[in-house]
Amino acid sequence: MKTRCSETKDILTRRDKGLPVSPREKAALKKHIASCSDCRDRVLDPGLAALLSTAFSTPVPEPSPSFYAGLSRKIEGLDSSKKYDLFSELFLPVSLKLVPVMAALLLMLSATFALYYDGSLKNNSRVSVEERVLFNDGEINAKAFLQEILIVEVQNGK
Amino acid sequence: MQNDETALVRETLAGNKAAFDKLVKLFAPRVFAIIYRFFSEKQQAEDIAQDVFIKAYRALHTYGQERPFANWLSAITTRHCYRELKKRKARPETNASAISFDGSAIIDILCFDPGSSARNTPEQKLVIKELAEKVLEKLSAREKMVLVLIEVEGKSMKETAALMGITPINVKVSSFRARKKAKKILQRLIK
Repeated sequence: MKTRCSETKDILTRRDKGLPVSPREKAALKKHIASCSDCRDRVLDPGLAALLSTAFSTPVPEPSPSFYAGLSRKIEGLDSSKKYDLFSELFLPVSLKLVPVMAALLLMLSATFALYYDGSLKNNSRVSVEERVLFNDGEINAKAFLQEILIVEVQNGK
Repeated sequence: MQNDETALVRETLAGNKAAFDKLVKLFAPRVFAIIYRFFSEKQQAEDIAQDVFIKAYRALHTYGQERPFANWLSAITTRHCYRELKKRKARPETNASAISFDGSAIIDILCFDPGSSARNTPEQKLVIKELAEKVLEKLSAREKMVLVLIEVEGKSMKETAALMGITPINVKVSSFRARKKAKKILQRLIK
């Protein structure tokens, strides 16, 4: 095995120097490398680098004309959306803020109104049926209501 | 040359779109060459190149004129490719190779063929490319990128780190792991 390893080393050195390697030597080298892990390691390090550089040495094609045209269109689109963005940056946040603010205000107002209205009804329920009729049913006016009660009480002689 | 680029950048920033078109014409081959290392399908490479230029256009105001425009654009391109590779790794496309490799042919490629690339026939070149792809597809996006930048582009660790936006230590570690993995794959294919 030792002689074969040294033979392999010798062949590889000659290959690196650009000296010719006979087909018989090549075949012997291949056979040995397939079975010897040390020699395989020796071959793999430079082999990997050479493999990659060869694989990627293919000429790079030129970008097609449609590439430039497409890019130009995209950039133009970007510019127009940029203008829109500037508009929205300036105005949209305000309008965006206005929407929830308005909604919240509306909600608060309706809640207040509902509470007030609910309270009014509850107060209203304390008023007797005769009184409702007397006050023309439901037209709740606190001042008028008190006045009417006083009148009724005076009339009743309380 | 750099003055021209700087002038074109300044004009673009002032709103002259034709100046940016000139920059694209000037640098598209370079950008395309970088992308083509990682995405060898032409249409795919063109789509990515367009994204790169759009990114560059948007970020043009951040370009510090103390370094060449080409370096700035190369860094954007490399990082974009890195992100795309990561995305594609997350959802891998199963591209079964039509070529089956036998150990003897791989040893032949590793020991003798790469050095004589000029003499290789298109079929041989295709086999070499397929073998390289087979090895690289098993690596992570970062490992693949580091290996290609160092081995193919001939970049130093420091340059690779700057291009990818990672530390030189990370490059060193990724490079070591990538080589180890690649050699293991080749060992397995040879046996």
